[in-house]
Amino acid sequence: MKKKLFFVLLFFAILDLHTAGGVEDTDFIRSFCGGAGGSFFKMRPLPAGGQELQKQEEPAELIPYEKTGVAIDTEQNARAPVVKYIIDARLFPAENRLKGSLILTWVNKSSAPVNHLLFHLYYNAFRGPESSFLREWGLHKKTQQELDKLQFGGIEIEDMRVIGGENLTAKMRFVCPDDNNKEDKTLLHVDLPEAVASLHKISLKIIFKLTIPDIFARTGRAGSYFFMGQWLPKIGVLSAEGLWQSFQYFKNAEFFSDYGDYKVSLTLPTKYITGACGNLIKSEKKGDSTTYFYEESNIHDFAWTAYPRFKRCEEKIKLAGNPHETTIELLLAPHHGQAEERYLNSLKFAMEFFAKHIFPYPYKKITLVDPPLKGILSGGMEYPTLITLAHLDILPQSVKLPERVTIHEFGHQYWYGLIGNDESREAWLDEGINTFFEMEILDEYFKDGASSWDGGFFKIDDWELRRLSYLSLLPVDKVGQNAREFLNGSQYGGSVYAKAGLLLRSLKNLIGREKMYAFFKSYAEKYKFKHPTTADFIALFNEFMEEDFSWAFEQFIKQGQGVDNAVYKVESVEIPRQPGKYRNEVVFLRKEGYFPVQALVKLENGQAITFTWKEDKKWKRFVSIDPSPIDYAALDPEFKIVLDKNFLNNSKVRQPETPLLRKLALKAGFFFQVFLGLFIP
Amino acid sequence: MEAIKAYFGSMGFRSVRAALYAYLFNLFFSLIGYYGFYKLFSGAAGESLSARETVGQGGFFSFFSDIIYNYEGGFPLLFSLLALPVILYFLASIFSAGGIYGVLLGEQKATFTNLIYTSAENFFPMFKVFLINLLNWAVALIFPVGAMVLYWKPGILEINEAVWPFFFFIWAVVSVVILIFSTAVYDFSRIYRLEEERNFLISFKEGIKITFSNKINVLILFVCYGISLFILYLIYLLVSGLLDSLVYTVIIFLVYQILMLIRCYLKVVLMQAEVKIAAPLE
Repeated sequence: MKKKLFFVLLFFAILDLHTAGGVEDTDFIRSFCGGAGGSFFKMRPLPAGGQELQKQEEPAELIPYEKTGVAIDTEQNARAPVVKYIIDARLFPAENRLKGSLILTWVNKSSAPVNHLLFHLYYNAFRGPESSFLREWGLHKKTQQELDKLQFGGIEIEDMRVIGGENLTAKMRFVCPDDNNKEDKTLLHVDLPEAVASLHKISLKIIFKLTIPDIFARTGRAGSYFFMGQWLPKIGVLSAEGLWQSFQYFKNAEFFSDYGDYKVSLTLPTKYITGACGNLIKSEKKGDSTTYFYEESNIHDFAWTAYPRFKRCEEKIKLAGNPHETTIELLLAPHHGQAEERYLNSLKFAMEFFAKHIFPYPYKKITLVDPPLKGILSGGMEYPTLITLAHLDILPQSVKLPERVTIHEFGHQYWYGLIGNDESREAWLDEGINTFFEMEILDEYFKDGASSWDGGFFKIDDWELRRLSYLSLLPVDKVGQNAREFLNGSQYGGSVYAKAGLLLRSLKNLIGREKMYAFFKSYAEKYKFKHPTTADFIALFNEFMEEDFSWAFEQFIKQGQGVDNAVYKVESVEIPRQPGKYRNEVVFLRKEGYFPVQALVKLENGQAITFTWKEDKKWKRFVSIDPSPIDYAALDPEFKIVLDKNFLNNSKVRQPETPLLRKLALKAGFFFQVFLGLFIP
Repeated sequence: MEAIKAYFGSMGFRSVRAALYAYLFNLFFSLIGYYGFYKLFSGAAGESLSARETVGQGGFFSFFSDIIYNYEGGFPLLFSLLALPVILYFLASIFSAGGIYGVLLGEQKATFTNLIYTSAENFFPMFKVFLINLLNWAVALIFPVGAMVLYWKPGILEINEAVWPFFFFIWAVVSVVILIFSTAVYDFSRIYRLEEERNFLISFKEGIKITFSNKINVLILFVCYGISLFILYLIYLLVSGLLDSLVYTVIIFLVYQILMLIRCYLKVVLMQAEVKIAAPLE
């Protein structure tokens, strides 16, 4: 039955894929997994081509970009990036494997010495059904027979040593501080033979190998399509006080890493068309293989893709304020020709929007990966200088999926990429802000109130879709809580994306667009290539606005409050001793939450009385003597507080609106009549 | 040519009476829907300005979202209540079909008295023909459902994505053809049962026979009917834009009813044409 519903599910899943907090249905896994493998340690038998891997059991020596070693120049280290990765990786598609080695140079920028390192080995989330990540996907409930149909993956560190120093391989152990799941191997603890002092650095050489899982969340393989995210052993983030801010990999939680320099060489069969984070410096063809050399600075992750059937499209854009041109590289899946223009036009619009209101995209290249259908679950995701999209050619033009995904994911180049908050502990700082900008850009891009779906008289705007997600929230989670602590994916999406985005939109409507954008420009400039927190955000917001907005963040981010404004009573009584004079009375309510709100009392003679209800009180009685009775009273008549849970009770008319409702009921009734008409004799 | 002649030749005043008869059943049961939606909307938003803000200006999505989330129970209750008229109307359509086919086949005038009398007389034979035709529809569903199930089998999506539109096109065309023939089998079974007064099993068998002896005529007839419905839909699209700006709800309601009456008329025209196609075979 679930399979029959696949199309419907797929549509809604990709509509909000990632942009709404991830896909829940674990049956997607089976839909996309044709393999018959077992766990990481119970691999599919190697085909004949496996000989190649055997020969190269010791990976090719690195092609170092620079010499590394322990340095004690603390002044230089203070200026240096926290991390430098030099990676050499080789893909063996026939064996479903990747062999790699990396040199990591890490600077202890905290004030305390560090005697151990923590590494994210997130590829191990796909190791088997008992990883914390796959448990959350419900894989632990699958029977062995069902599990045998899945191709799991994982990462194995074969060797880790301090360059010019001790071998650390024996000092590695997996830790699970977040959920105590001993089966989870996504966080690696490595004891150091001697502490790394503050502003000292350490260089390590790590040899690793991957088994590539079938794609069902962000990374892996589908046929000849590879998307490689979270594939390398990545060091965690150390706080200024010397505490590791690292976590295991969970379904809702995303990533947190330090900015640094990445130099990556990828070797794979020449027939593959590749794309990756950063700039392609050169490529070298040797026999049937080609090595691609990528470089980028000031990024905090590195992802790449390879697929023989990509169509590569390239354009250049010169953004106002940038001294250089930016190259747009689109890797388009076959049969997605309709999407090419839609992707590129919406991307360029978003780039110009950010250049105008925040600052121009600073990197020289942005890569857009349009996955084929079989790899769609790697779509709708952001990486530094690379985003993955989602499209189905079968969808009608009225569904604005390509534009929504492109604009949302490009927004992440700022809110995640350039301003790098902790996506696990404070996911709203990137997802919420980014959803706010997604709504703003889509408003400008489409201008028709149908930025999600244009079905003629029935249109859906992006913010309306987000509001629906917010309305469906159970009152059990807070926007600002740790991503892994949400009840489920819908709660996570409805909170950190929708509610946070709607809060910012409501604040924008209160403060004014220009001032709100100016704040975000200031925030982005201050925290560019840094790790801001909620506290930083609120402090800067209050400082910039020269007003205390803590009430908003306290209620809607830190607590689980929503907003519901209502008009409780509208009454007009002609004063017996004063003919032609009316005692008009309105009672306004704050049924939930506090948000300064515009009140409007409209009299039948057309006169309008407006004021802003600022006092933090639960109700307010408004009385006036007027020459006319009230027509209606309303709180927030223009629906500016989109965080309001119920627009219907925002207003009250003295005479019920029957003609209009009759009209609406007629429309609905006619649909019912037409439906009955299907059974006409 | 024979089918086209039969279809257009059936567009007479006689069909209007029968159409009116069919339409009144449709109207009677749909009034429950009109009333139900009105009660729901006025209960949830009768005193709200939202109706002014949304009706005729888009914005339906938030309006419905608010009703669903803030007045939960309203829509589920209404839809549960509407299930009853759907079931009753289904039975009523079997009842009225007996009358319409009876009058079309006979020589009597299409008066309401005759239609009601014939409907009552023919109800049980018509119901039996309906029951045996469940087999017809079960067979007809094999391809549309089976093809979908096979298509969604795990792993099949790894097939080139270009297969999707091709598959859906073929699936839709074949399903429509099956739908046409299964409807024709049902209609001809009913015609045969009323004319020959044979038992429902023989009628079913004859229904199949008549359908497949007239394959081309059946296809042309249903294509004519389909085109007529499509034109009616275009008229609706044209009119609905104008209706949005109208204030008088009575006029809107009347326009809807005229459209529905035409819809019923087209169905009766089809029924009359089927009677004409079936007649030479006997």
